[in-house]
Amino acid sequence: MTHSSRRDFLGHAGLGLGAAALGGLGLQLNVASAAELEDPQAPRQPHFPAKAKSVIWLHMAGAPSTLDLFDYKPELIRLAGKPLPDSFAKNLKTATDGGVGNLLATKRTWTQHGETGAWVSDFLPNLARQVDDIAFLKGCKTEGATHVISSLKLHTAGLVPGRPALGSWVQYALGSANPDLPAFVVLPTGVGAAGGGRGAVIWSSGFLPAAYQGTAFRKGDSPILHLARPEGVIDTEQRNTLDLIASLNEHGAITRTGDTELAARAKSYELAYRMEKSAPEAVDLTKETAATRELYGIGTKETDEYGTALLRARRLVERNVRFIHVISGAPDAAVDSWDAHNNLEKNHAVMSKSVDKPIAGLLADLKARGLLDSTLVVWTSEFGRTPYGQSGNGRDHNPWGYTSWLAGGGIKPGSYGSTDEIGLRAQTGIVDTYDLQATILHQLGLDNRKVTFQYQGRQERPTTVFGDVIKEIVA
Amino acid sequence: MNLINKRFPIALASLVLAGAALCAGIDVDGELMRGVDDTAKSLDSNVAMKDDKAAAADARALVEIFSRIESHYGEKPGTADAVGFAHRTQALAAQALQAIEAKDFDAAGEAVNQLTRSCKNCHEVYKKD
Repeated sequence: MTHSSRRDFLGHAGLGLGAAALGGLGLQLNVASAAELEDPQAPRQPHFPAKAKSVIWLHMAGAPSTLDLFDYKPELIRLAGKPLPDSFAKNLKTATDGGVGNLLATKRTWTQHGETGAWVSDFLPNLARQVDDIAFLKGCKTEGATHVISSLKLHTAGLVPGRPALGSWVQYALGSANPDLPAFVVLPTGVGAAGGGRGAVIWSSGFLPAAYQGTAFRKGDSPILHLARPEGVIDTEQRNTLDLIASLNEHGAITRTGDTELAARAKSYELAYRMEKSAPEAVDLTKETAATRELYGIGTKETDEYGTALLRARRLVERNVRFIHVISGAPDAAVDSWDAHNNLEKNHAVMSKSVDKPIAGLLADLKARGLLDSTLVVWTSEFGRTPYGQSGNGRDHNPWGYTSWLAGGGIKPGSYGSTDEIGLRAQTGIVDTYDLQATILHQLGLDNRKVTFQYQGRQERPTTVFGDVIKEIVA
Repeated sequence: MNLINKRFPIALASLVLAGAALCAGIDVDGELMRGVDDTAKSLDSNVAMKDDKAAAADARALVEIFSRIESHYGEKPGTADAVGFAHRTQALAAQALQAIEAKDFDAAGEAVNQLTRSCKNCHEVYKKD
């Protein structure tokens, strides 16, 4: 196939895709021309100047107890061992089997840090040194009490599967800033999938075209399964094979002009070909200095895997990947995830240690390289954990009040919002997941109400009908 | 307006009429609220698509239902804030309807935005799970 005929094919296939996409695109999305729609990854203009170019989304899967990390509650310590007071329990509906145990005090040592005076427990000594770059959202709330449902809401703004992940919306709205890498990369870490809410459904493109789904990177030198050219196949042979596949797809596309999966597949072959070089290079940490690797905790058993993922994330940011979703996992079989229904002290000691140094290293490294201003780092989870105990030494799921935080990307450091005196419910500065999503989109130059896609006769938005930008933390 | 969207205002109106026939009121339960939620989403979508007929039907359904909800809470002691929420939401649905009838979809969109915020504010008090 000549370049001319390839362009013709892509043009025709693109027009088909463009027509389909035009039917689905919201009227208010800044789409300059149909030419941009020929390629779903083509860069598109934001609604207004962006503060952030990339997002690193740190998903603490399993839900840490922010009452033992960031939300210091002297009143909870005072009331420890007593039943949950009626004044706090009013209208409380618990959904899991554990019931409501007596109030459980944190066993941590707490200190205020930095110029902002943020409280951080001794579970996170390294991150405590970075608080002056962080905006803590201490009045977060969500819906649901199971990992799967709340994780879907956190990532897709829906309570059931089928909606696109936030990273997919970002890719749909802005396209890719690097034609040789996916714009939405997922970096799962840890062993097992305990805790739920970690599967591909949280990085799915949902009802958006399939080209916008997240691409999960594997551990090791070859980040994408079967990406490397098979042994014994030379480049020319592979190129010829891809040209033949493209030719066959060209014929298939003539009668399937609205088939976004076929168009996405055709694009993916070419992207995969380019990624044979670009993806391994992007995750090749041998080019990093020993000092940088040490900064992320690479080479130390407890922090090696998560630190590797975060250093990869920084390298992907440098290569203009727009949305990097890092999922925390247990570093070994000693614990399952952050999901500490029992033995919270042991669980959080392991989990905190695995993320503390790598996250602190990431923030410091981004700042030193001048990337923090344009990179929005988000630390969040599907919900928090209760101030009342479970199993004697654990905590149950708490969707009513917990802490998330953001750093960089035009965010003003400090503390916003609060929970009640024992940390059960968000009380002031209440931030729902929709608001968090709206704020992230805003920092990327997108109005969450103007990014729309028509699906089943309805104009769908990334944050559904909800979502207000948290103006108080926008610099 | 698609088939699903068409059904909810009708279902909502039926629910209201059934409730009215039985006890001149309604049960403010999960089923009713799911219908309200879907009608609000349908309204938001129809305003975005500038479908004035479908949007007006959704807005009228919401005006009616929030009027009933206001009456429902008005008869219950200690729920003055719920009466206020329902009254405000009804007023916003009426404001959206007025803007839709004037084909001012920007104003209608803003009214719907305020309406969904009002829903969330009410749920802070009346939906704890």
